[in-house]
Amino acid sequence: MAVATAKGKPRYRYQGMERTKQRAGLLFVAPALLHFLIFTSIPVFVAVGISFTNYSPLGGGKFIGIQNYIKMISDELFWTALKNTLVYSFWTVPVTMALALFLALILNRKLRALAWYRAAFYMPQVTATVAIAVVWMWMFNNQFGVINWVLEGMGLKAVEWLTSPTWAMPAIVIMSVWRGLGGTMVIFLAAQQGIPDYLYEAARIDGANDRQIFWRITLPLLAPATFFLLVTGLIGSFQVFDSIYVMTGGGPSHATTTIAHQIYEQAFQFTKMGYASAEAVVLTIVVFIITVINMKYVKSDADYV
Amino acid sequence: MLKISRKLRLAFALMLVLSMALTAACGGGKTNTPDTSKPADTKPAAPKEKITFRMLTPIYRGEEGNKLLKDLMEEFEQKNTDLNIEFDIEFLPDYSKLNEKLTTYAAGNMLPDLFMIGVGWIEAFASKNLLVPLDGKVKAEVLADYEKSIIDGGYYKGKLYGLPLVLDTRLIVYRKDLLQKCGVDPNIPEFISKAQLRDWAVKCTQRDASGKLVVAGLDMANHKDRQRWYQFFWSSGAELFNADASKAAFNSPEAIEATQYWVDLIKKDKVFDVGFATGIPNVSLMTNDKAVFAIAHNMYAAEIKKSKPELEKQIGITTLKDKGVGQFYGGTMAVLSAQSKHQDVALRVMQFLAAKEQVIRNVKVEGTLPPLKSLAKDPYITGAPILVKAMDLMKYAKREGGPEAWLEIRSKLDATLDDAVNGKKTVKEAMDALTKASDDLIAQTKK
Amino acid sequence: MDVSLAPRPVSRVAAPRTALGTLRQILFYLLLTAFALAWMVPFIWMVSTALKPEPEIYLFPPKLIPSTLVWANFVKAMKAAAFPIYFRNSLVQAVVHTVASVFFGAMAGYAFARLKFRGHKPMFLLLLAKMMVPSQVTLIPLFLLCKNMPLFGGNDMLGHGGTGWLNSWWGLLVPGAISAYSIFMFRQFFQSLPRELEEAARIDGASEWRIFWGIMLPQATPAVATLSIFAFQSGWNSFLWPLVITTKDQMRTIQIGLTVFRQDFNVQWAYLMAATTLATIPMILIFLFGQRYFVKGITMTGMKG
Repeated sequence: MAVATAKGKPRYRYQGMERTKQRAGLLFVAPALLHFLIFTSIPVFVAVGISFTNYSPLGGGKFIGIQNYIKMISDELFWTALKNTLVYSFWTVPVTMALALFLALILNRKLRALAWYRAAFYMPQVTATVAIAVVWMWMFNNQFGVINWVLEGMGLKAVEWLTSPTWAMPAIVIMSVWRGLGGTMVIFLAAQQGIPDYLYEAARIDGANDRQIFWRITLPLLAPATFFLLVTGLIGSFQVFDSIYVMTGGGPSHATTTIAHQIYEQAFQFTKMGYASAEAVVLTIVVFIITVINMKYVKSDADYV
Repeated sequence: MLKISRKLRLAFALMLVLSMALTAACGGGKTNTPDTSKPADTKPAAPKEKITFRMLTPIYRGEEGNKLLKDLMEEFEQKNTDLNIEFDIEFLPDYSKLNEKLTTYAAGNMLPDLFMIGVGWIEAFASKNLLVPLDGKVKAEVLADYEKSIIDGGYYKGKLYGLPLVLDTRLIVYRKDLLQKCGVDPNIPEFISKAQLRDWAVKCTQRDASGKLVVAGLDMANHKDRQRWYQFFWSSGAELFNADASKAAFNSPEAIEATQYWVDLIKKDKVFDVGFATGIPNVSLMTNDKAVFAIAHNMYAAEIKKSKPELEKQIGITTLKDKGVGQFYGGTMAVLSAQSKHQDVALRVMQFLAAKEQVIRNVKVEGTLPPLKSLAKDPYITGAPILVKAMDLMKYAKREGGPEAWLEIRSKLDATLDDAVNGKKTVKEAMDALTKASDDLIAQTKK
Repeated sequence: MDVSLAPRPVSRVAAPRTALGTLRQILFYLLLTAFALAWMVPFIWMVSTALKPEPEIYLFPPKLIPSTLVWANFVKAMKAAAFPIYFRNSLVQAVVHTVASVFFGAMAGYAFARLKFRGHKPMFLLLLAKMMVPSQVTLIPLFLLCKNMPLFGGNDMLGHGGTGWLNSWWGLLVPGAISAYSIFMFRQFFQSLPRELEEAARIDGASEWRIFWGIMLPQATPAVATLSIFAFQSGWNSFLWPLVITTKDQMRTIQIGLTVFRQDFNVQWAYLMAATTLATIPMILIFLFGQRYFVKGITMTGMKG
């Protein structure tokens, strides 16, 4: 029987087996690849091409080289939006993940009505953005919102959430964490199931306490899930648009406008599709760089001890 | 056990997918539009070519609105027996989605035969030759039924492209009973100065011991709402652009004075706090006794009837007038696509919809404002003081827009008001910056 | 019961033996319930608004508990537009999206994780890059691609003349059918599975497909369950693409239908909240049903020895 080593490489290598694996791999990936070629690469190529023109959907447009990109450098609004997007991302993603992990650990045991608790935390994810954004606007209302009511009840000063350039972005972050937590928690829950019980048993027999178990066993073995959530969380956070559009419209004083919001405005309100595409290209490159950095420094594979 | 149930599930799902594919392949997606009754032909039937007529509308909203438009189209068919039309109407909920739809249609060369747009878009579409000019095709008496500055919104470079279907405006309203409570004579004149408004609003503002606003002297709704700010702007005698819309005039002394008034109301006179308003449509401060004056949308007439009808007689309306006077009207216009193969039919449909018999039915259902002067006598209007006034002020109508770059300029205008109130820039700095940016944008379109 | 964070296998729970243990248990449940309820406040608000009689909707500050419960709002909301049709369309969209995402995603994810075929690294990066492109700039190119799809909807071989995939199930379902997110998740999941079974089967001469379908996929039940829930939700909630690709009422989905209550200056709050609540219920049911599958199908203890 072939013995699998810690790194998972088989001790014996079969020529035929390798070839079959290669063929199977390509076949398995073929549908996705085909779909990608048609429905992703074509629109993306077109969009990149458009970024070098001043095309407008209403008609007309000619090749203008890199003028759009040059314009972006001096576009103050673009840089503000980029900064806002980064701030949003670097707050929302870690907070959501930490809180979700905490909840996933708690809700991974036999509790009464476990399903209901999990559903309670997952529910925010399934409601339509529009209705829920309005409810949050109500909750953040300066005078009579629930949040300020609670703050004042605790003796703190009410905060002018959505109308203050300082607090508008934190408000959006809070709402996004509320919304995204459920999905992240679900993934951690599923990933935990992949950790074999015997590891915990063995550790407890060896006398490990809870904290050691968490840091030495649970967290490292959740690495694939953590990596996944980090990358998809970052990617998703850079595209945040709907909730901002409804709740603040990018204000106050551009405090919450994000690149995705700018792209939307340029593309569909000013019909400047060329410039919007250029902004999109830059956004994609930024996200790509950040993701690659992540891939290098964050462990993505789990090692079995 | 798990394996089997999953396989079953997958099999079922795959069957579903297959059946969908089959339906699609056999021309799936064909709509079952309700068979509109064909009128009995009294003439010997000549073979009528069937036309599919596409419409896109962001008005005729809600369940009732949708039904009204479908009914209207049936009536149109019955009145026009020489045509054999199938109407394909696409309803949109609001303007934001209109942008995405129209730009994708335009890009795909499939603009609907008749569609509707907001005032600021005429320039964008007409300058790209996407609209049919209407000159000489609309009856003179119909054109005369619009106030000149309102129908002007449908013109681009001297040619008419659109007919207004509904309007909206903003009015300064007040509560007579609340005015009495704060010691102000509730018989406010028809026209007041900004100084008077300020003084009364200050007198009626109430704050509690800690300085928190309890009752706002003037509900400004949203400090960066340019459509509410226009009345202040034009009352100082300022203009948005010069006569041929080639240069912006945002930093004229009058413009700065008006905007300073606007900013001071919040920052110095403190009759309103940013964020005090609900920000939620249909939920108003004045109805809840939390504001004495308010800059209201004409829809407030319908809202007050639904929420607190007993308050209606307490509501009065006034208008600002200093060196000038100007009442803002925005609206939706019907336009015809130049790509359409049925332009004659489209013209007839448009005139049908824009005629006063049809317009009045629409505005009644939606609670909006009609653009036709002759409808001012209709009981729908006369039954609501706000609407009476809204029609009456049409003689002072002014509109926003002008240059081709208006859509971008207005976005900067919103940001400018925001910056001025937030204190990020002084009023003069903000308006100077806006003027320069606008001039740059205008210059770019001229290139 | 131990309330620490270290995960305990779901099958093993120690009953509280002391009074202190019981007290800790009660405290734990109280805190958890309070937190879960707080998390659901926006929902509670939504439902409370849905049940409000009309005059109370205009109140400010808003009342949390309506004076009477107007259940009729739910009925009226459903009559406001062709909701049964929208419901059917949303259901089809969600189911097809789920099946396609899960099936093709699992295949491709497995191929990336285990059948490391030539070129899998750059292909994977391309896939990630796909997620990074903002959808606003690919909307129009994708729309045009669908409209000019050759040989569909009256188009000739070059894609001219007809309407292609507009207003059809093809246009609605195919462009979004395969999800990079799903492939990514399956890849992470398959990477974390131990290789013994797979290698053994391979040596025993099983075909790659049998290995995938019969051995690896059953182990991936948590991932399948998770992704099914997510894919269903994404299909159910999708709004912009259905809006753009359909013009006829018969093809529209629930999310578009909800907008009938929301107009620029006039929002029918009670109906909007009622309809949104109703639109959310299927999602919650799916979650409650599916989350039980987060438990692994095959335990690992059978592997020892």
